[in-house]
Amino acid sequence: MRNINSAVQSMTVKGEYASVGDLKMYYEIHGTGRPLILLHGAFMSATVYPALAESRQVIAVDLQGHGRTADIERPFTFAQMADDTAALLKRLEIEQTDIFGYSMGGKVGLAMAIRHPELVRRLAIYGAAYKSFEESFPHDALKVFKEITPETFAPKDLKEPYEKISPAPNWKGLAAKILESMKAFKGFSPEQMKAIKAEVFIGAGDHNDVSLEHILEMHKLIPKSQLAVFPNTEHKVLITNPDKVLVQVKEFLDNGFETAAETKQATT
Amino acid sequence: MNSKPNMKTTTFVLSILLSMLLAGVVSGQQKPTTGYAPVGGLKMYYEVHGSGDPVVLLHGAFMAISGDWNDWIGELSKTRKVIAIEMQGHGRTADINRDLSYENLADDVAGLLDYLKIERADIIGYSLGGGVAMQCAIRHPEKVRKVVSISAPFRREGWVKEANDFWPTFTWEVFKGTPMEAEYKRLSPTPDKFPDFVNHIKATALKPYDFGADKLKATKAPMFFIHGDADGVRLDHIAEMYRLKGGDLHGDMRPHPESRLAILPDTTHVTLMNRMTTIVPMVNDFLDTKPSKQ
Repeated sequence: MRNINSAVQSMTVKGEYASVGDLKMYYEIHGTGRPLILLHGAFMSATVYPALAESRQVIAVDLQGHGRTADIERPFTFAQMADDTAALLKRLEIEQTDIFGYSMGGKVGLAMAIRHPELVRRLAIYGAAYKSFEESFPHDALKVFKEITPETFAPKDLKEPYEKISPAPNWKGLAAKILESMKAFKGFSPEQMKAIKAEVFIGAGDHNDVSLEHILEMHKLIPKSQLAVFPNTEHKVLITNPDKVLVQVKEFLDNGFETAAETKQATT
Repeated sequence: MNSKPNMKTTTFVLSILLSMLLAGVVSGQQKPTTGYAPVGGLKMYYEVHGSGDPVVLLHGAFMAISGDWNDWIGELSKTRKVIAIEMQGHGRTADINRDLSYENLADDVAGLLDYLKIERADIIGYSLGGGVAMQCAIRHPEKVRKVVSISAPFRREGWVKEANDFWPTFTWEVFKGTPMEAEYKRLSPTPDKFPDFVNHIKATALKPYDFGADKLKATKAPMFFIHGDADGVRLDHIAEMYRLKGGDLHGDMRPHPESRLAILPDTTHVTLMNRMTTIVPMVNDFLDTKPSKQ
């Protein structure tokens, strides 16, 4: 029931644009309550998950070059995307927010917690790595990833929605910039991860495109983190069956920690 | 004769049938078949609840069926035949002069299945019981379909350092006056032997053990490892177990391994057992998934 209502509601919400630097950034605001920023994955656009929207002011954005936010002459970096989102928050006079970031959006969320610590209360990420792709992909995924080119990569379920809403669609251009940004990303340093002040929920599937080892490292580095690995779950679960993950994400965003931080396992 | 049944009579009969049906369901849940099986020199206590594919429940150290599985049995027995046992020295099963080793306890489970004429079963174990479940898959592969191991390592070093450091300092007085002691006295055929029982477990816990990575890897039964992010089992050991069973691969790009991993956020070795509403649906899904054809 709730799903249907929320879906109807989201269609009637009118999106807005804010100028942040040279970017005209698209965003939507749904509901009222404690703010929650939603950061989508690569190739995707503002997605309002009904499971997270309840009793919240949800702000869903389209990051640079994605969805309804037109691209500009500037490479994609997760740091820049974080700064764009921080600038938007300032415009909206939001002093502190919770964040849920999926995949690339999770990296942008980490960049926000690192670069704009005062803005972030709780951060939940799913399927996001903090290191370079060579250091974070499982071996089999790495092999496949290295073979991807902008010319050959065109999954219908991503390409078609993009072309429908982009103000200036250029799929190959987008794919090229995303692949470039992934290859250029050197990762955040362990010191940066250790300095994160926000409470962080690290989510991953047991068949993910981030290796388990990497996820565990991230959990050990971030002082106030909790870790959730979902069984029989893939990277794309946020597209195919988001509630499988979001029930626990919501629990974290609303309630934070129950277990004392001291019980967290010491680094091996 | 009037062939049309009287409306009132029909309603009456229906309500009686319905209440009989409900009573049957309720009593089916409340009144299990219980008994003592002669296995491994023990008189091992067991309960059988419900009907369907058999699943064995193995409690943690110091515990009994009542401590770990009360709420689980009601849920699982809706669709399965649940066989809950009390392992050597625990609950209603008296202790004997024999090592409380994972191997012995696993052989007891196999012996019980023979005794009950059950060819193959799924096994769910918590803590000590999780280790026994893995040993069942290693030692009695033909008897084990799938394993759910909740918060258990396959070697002693898999426990966090704090847990291993704790045992030498531990004495039975720690449990004096606790519900654990009260439950022992209530259930055990030797209610005044609580200190001996605790010391027996302590002796086991102090002993080094290692099931062998190669042996775990060689098991055929798919395994589902369930842990907390603040577990008593080291996170790198959890990752090692899952990898040994074929995990940690990119699921969007290849067929999934049949083994699974869940790590629950903000959860310890002890609070895991309060997360039943999250865990039981995961367990049902794992047990109900048909093996993929190669």
